[in-house]
Amino acid sequence: MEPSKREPYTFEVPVGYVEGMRVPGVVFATDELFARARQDRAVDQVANVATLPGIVGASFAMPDIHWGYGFPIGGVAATDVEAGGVVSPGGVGFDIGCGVRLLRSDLEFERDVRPRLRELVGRLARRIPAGPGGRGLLPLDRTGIQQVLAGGVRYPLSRGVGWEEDAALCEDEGTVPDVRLEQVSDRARERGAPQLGSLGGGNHFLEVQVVDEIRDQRAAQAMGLFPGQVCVMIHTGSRGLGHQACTDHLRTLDRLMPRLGIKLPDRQLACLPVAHEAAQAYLGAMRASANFALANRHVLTDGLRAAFAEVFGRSARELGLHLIYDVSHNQAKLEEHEVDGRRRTLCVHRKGATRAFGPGHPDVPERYREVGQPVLVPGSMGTASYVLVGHQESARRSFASTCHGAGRAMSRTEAKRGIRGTQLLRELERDGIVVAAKNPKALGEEAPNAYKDAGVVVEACEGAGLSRVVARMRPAGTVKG
Amino acid sequence: MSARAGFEFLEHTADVGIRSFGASVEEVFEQATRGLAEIIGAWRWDPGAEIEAGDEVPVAVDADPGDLAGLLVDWLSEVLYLHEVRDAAFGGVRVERVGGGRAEGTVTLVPAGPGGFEGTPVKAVTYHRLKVGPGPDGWVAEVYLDI
Repeated sequence: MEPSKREPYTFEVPVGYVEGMRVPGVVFATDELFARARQDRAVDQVANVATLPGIVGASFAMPDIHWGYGFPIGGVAATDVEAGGVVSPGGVGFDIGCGVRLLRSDLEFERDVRPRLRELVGRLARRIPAGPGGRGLLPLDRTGIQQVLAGGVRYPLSRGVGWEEDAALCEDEGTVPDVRLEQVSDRARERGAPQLGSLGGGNHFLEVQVVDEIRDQRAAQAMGLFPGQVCVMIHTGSRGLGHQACTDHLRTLDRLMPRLGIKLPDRQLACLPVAHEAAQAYLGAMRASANFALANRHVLTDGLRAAFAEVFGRSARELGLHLIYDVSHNQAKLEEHEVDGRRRTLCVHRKGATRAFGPGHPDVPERYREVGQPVLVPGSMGTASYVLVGHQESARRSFASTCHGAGRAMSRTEAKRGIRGTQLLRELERDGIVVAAKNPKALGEEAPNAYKDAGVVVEACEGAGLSRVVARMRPAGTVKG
Repeated sequence: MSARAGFEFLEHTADVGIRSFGASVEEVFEQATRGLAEIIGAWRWDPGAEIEAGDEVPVAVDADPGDLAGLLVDWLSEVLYLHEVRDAAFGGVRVERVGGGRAEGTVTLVPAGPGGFEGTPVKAVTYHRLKVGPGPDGWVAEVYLDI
């Protein structure tokens, strides 16, 4: 039983490809991206996810698909809650609530920023904590962490950090509801408390970008985007708090699952029915961790606004540094979708995939409702990033999901063999991109050729009816851990 | 440490795996710990070298009896937690006993040093393709890390 191309940009992995599949797998990809996904066994993981109890529709994967642990990266799976469908922490990932936000500005790159780019990146690097460990901009005490877990961005706002209007431009308006605070362990709190307002390491970054192409004028206008404009993108998540929270609950579900007779082809897919107390406990902790991630990006935004104000001698408001939107690409959400002609409550897992509501959806902020929910897609280091909007057909095609990034194309070891971090830094400088990296030696892992071409990924998403491209941004200056 | 003890990295598109081997299951746990520390850039001891004074921290984890693989995940998760909250490198590891659903030993925590950690931060230990068991020449374990 072999996968086959069903229509342009859509491949089907038939039931029976692996034993126990309850639904087919559907991979949105170009021919080349699909071939790569087969080669690195990510398609096998799509099929494994299709064995989850209660899964409906299909086990989906976005064009940036690659081999993950349990779920493929780029994986989307929805389970029917009322029919005993499960939640699987591996379908969210350890970096709970990891996501991206984009700010626009009134600055034009050539006129305003290029002459001072090195100074700006240097100031951002000094202001923005990056790299493993280290203290964030707003370290928390016991009360503070409790309030962040409960309220997301509300806590830093209560401390006078950030702009009130940013909350409405985040998923869940900056506060994920239905948390279970007692389900976030002391260890998770201990790891996270010093880290609020920090980037972390790996592929997390803060980047000054330049809009170099507008493809959807109407949507760009709604977002305040124009050619040559300076924007700032942040990619980070829930840091050690989320990592520990997932570790804690994955362990519990892993131990309980056999007692319910659930057998899966990969232990990392450990799951329980959403209605089970331990699953509810996990979901409550996951939501609290997602609040930490939202607050993290919110606090970092305050830091970057301060850096810009210092360099340009005007307030961030005068510079027009407004938030466009904030998305998460590692989360499970209870959403209503139509399945077989009936509205059902589904637990939609997105693991390295972004929610992409289409035009008219009530959860899309009013200013974007006519054009669709913004989706922010970072490219790999030194390459273009993209702003998309959710497609009208996305709910029908993929439970309103689209890609999250470029997706890795090779292992970190192989990437480092190809180029040393210091050499990569020199090449980026030659291309006019200023990079401030806490650990330059590790940069080789993040070389552009270690990733797929984000441009190809977003075109495939558009071709598949998941999202539409609004604008492309090229990197100008990057702060990395 | 036996002549058979060691570890190697397993390639993965986004993450990394460790295959550790040794004469005993205890040794396999030690070598997996060393592999984790090397990935982070937190291993500070070479055999035969003078080890600087450090903090010997006891580690003990429990899992279902017979679940050696789950025990390895718990052990490495505990080590990772200590590294992060203490911002510490490792000057050594000794696994005293693995069996009956329990793993016990110590890790020696030492300061990171002026260079900090020059490896890759590890987010967590996964259950993906996890194995611990007898190998052709002793014991073998395979575990993947989210980085």
